[in-house]
Amino acid sequence: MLCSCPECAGKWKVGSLEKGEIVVCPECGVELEVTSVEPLSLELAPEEEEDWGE
Amino acid sequence: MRLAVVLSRLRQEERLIFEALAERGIACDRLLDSEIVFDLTRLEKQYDSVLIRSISQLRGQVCARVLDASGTLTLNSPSTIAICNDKILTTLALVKAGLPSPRTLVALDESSALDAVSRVGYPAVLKPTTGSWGRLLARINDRDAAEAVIEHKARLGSYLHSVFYVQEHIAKPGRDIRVVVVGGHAIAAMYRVSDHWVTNAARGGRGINYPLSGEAAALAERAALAVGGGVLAVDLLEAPDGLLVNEVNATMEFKECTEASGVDIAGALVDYWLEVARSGRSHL
Repeated sequence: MLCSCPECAGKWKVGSLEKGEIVVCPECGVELEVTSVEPLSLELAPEEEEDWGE
Repeated sequence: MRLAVVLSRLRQEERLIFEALAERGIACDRLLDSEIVFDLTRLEKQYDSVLIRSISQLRGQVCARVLDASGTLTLNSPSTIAICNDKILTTLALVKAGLPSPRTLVALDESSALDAVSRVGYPAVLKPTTGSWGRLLARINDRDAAEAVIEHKARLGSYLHSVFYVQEHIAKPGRDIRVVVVGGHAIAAMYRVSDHWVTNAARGGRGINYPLSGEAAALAERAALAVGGGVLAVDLLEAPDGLLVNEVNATMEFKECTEASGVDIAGALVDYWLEVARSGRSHL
């Protein structure tokens, strides 16, 4: 799968991705969330919220 | 049997759970909590049981409540999640069960919070009543620090920070103990070691194998029962007089403990979930 970073427009290939997965752009290091697989869509991962945790 | 997992993100823990389900030949839907819409006026039971794995404690709690109202069993139960998500409710449940825990005071005003800190003595620990991962914890070493932190908390923007949860500081030996309890049985444990006084894994605490002792296992099992049972991670502190129960987590992260203990926690969780789902009860 060809990934494209919405932040820096960097491109890279991965074997497979799943919805909800977090990937890190190898170009700029930003965290991206896989919001759709078919078609592939990557969006900036949300910042940690105050109620996140265990 | 219709099963689903509610999740916010696909982390290592969720991958391990889905792998364990696949190994057992069990089909399971994935529900991203960001995409869920509940029709409260036309509730339908779509699943026999749903495992709540939301990172957002509020989202997980809402999902559990609504699913429960539709007749769907959730793991953990809505009441267990609600208790674990609120440190005041957790402490009350532990105290009611007669379990040792750090002395804790709650104040609702800045001046009474100062009074509570001085009654606990310095150093004291101020914690948010909700939240996790060691976020916004403060060790208060003197009155100057108490005045500053309390004033800042009151102005953080959320009224929740004006509920002051004040705890005695336990001089733990650079670590705490995490015990994983599944269905009433302590199955795995680890030390969480850190040079910092906050030992949460999210704050850099490293997991090291802890050979589960009878005392720690029994205490963790009682703590899990006190909050309603299910699949839980109990954090214990080593105080000079013995072990104390510090927290109980209802949506535990377990990859660190899996590596440290060598126990297949995801497999045990899935086996218990399937047992509960087949039984038609919220927990066994």
